[in-house]
Amino acid sequence: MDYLTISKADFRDFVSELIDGDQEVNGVVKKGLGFSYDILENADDLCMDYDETILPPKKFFLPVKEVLLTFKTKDPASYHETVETTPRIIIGIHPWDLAAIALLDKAFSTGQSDVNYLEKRNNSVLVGIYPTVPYKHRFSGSMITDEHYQVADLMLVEIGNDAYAIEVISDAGSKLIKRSRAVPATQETLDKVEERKHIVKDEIVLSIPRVDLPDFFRKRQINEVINRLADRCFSCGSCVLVCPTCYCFHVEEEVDLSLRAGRRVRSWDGCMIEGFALAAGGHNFRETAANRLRHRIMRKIKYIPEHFGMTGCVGCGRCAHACVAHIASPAEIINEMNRSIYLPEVATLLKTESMTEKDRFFEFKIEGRELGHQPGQFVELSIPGVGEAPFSVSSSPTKKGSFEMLIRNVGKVTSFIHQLNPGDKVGIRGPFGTHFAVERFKGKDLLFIAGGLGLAPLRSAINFVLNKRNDYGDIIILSGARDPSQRLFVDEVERWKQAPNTTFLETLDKGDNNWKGNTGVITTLFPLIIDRVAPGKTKAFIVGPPVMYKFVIRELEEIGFDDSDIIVSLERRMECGVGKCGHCQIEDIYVCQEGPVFTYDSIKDLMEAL
Amino acid sequence: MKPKVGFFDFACCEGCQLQIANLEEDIIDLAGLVDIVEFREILTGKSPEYDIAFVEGSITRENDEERLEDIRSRSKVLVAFGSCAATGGINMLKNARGNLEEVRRDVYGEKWDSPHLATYPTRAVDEIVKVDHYVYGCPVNRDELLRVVEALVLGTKPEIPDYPVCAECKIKENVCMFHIGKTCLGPVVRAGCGAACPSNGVPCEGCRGAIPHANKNAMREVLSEYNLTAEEIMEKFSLFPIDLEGSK
Repeated sequence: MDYLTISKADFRDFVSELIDGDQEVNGVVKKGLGFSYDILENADDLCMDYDETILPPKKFFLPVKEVLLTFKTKDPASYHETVETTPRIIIGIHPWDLAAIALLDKAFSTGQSDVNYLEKRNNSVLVGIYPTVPYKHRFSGSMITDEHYQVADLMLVEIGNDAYAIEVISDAGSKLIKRSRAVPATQETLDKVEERKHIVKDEIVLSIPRVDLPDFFRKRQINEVINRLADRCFSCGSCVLVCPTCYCFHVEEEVDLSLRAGRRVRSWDGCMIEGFALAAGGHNFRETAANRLRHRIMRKIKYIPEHFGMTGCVGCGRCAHACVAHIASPAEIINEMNRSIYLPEVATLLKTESMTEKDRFFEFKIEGRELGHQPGQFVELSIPGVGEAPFSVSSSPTKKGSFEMLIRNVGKVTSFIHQLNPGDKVGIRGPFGTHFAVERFKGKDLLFIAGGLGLAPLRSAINFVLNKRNDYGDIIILSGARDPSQRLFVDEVERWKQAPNTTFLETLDKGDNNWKGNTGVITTLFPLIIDRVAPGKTKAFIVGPPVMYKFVIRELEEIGFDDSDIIVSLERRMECGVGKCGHCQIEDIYVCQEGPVFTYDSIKDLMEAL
Repeated sequence: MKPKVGFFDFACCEGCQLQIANLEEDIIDLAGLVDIVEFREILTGKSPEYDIAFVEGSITRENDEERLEDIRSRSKVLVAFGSCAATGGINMLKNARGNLEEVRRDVYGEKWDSPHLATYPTRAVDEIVKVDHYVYGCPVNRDELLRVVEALVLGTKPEIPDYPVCAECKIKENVCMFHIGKTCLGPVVRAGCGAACPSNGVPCEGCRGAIPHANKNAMREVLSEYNLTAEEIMEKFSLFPIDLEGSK
């Protein structure tokens, strides 16, 4: 490979002379707080030390909007092809964008040649540059190698503050650079080149080799990672519109206002936009956001590599940057799908306080994401060197930025958890299991029945429905505890009592001299509410100690509740949380997968259930 | 014969009709396409019937209904023209206040109960009569309006985008509002404006209403991740009628 070198001042003069020449000269310029490729009016506008442009340079060869044909209306013989071929020099292209251009070259020349693309492409001279500035979402090191961007005519490497080394790749590049004051590189420069090429390191690295990706996806269909991310997808198309390797387009006719003539134009389109696969007659062949997200990832990682033998994603990271929901990065999606099901994520303890002698309240945060749980789900919490144990989440999903748990000190792991201080880190897996599905019961009356620590998981559902109070009918909460020292969430319960059409009743197995409330087991509260509960339009949720369920369910059945309107959460030994270890099994059911939340009718015939 | 076109207004600022008056040289082409027979802002005169009626403004008074039904009965095609007509628009703000007497007192002062100031909760045009086509926007986009007129004259279905503003922002290569510390409704709001506001540094406020299947849950989540409180999010969704609590 021939290397030249040029001072930055001489390079600036070279660009300036090119601008004065007869070819259109494009380069990266500042655009507000971002960067974009634009026609250069002045060599001083050229930015070579940019992080990333908003749109990739493909826009020069596949314009945002392009006329393919012109016509006169009502005259099919008048269709006439148009091919725009402005010769262009484009300066400052990053290696991954060159790799993407190599893919587009292949896509538009394989099979029938797309002259509209190829004419523009063949009339261009590409001057690339190795990056000098990091970009948060870039993972190109995992996706491309040097051989992928040989479509460049010249490739610049910044050597120190004042000069570039220039790799001369093509004859066109050689011819162009002869117009500058570049000189053959010295041995001293050559010694630096390889190191300087890769001076900027990626922050994200793919956890499996690129060549293994097609196989990786062959074995994985839409899974919970895609489904969870797609829940946040706006179908706005930003990820595909900024992608250097996306080349799908939409074709339509534009007619002049005179109605006498018009144009057939193609414009950028993308598979993440909801209507992309909508056919005449109204059937959408890729109707859900999850299907669209899966298709996009599969196309990048499997279909294109298998079809063209080239990478379909170059790791530029523009999609991840453009996505305000933070769900678009192929690297993050793949890494998450590739994670061991037993690998915890790190969570930080934000706050902890004692609630009873044995119960402590904990608030945790996972860096960079919400837990994403539903009321009634659980997580596995790890202390390295001690072990892992399952706990219900006690906060509502409507609470953002952190999640809460109430943990009783009853064993090895919990005794260590009770010693944690704010700022300490733990491992978290999950959320796992089924949930109370309160969002499906809009318009219904709700009856929550908590025994002891059962109030903790129910609190998640209670705060969820109280946050959306108008969506639900009457809410009644019954809570039982052993004695005054065991009462939970005492201050918060006062706020629940203030909510509209909400009743909170409490009983203690045994009061003390100061206790003025009800005493007796939880079923002794039923006579107080029996007139106000309407079976048929009420869903009942029960969580408490094993002995409680039988008695409470009998009372509910007597009032007239259907077994399908009674929802229970069962505690079992859930060691793995992912339906493998077998400890939580009730007959043929894995509680961690099909539970812990069940409707009573689905488990009442299982001998081991209650 | 060129189609006879009438423009009508109800509760609105008439800014959408002004967009037509402002078409400049294109208005000559428009006049070549259609025969504008009724348009209070630029000509006098009336017609017994219309091939296309463009109705601007929302419906806020009882006697609006009678007039609208009359226009409908004399029109082959009726187009809800602009946000107020198509979605109820900014006039829907008063519905959120509930007490209309209070609204009238605030707006009209002492003479608030004069009969001609009688008002009821704002409704979109399609809540009263059948609407054949919609042109969204506050105000409408002139190019989109011309394309709609052209499609109606050609007898094809006017194509109105059902993807969000974000797509147009990307194509315009705008720096994302979220990347400069602002919050924007672009991800859930119907495009077609050419991302007019974000292109001028102003976040989308949702004048064209939500796209079909807009992911409002995600929008609320993202806005709260950008540190908006629940009240601020509610306020953001309420300038133009975007059903905040509606699910996807």
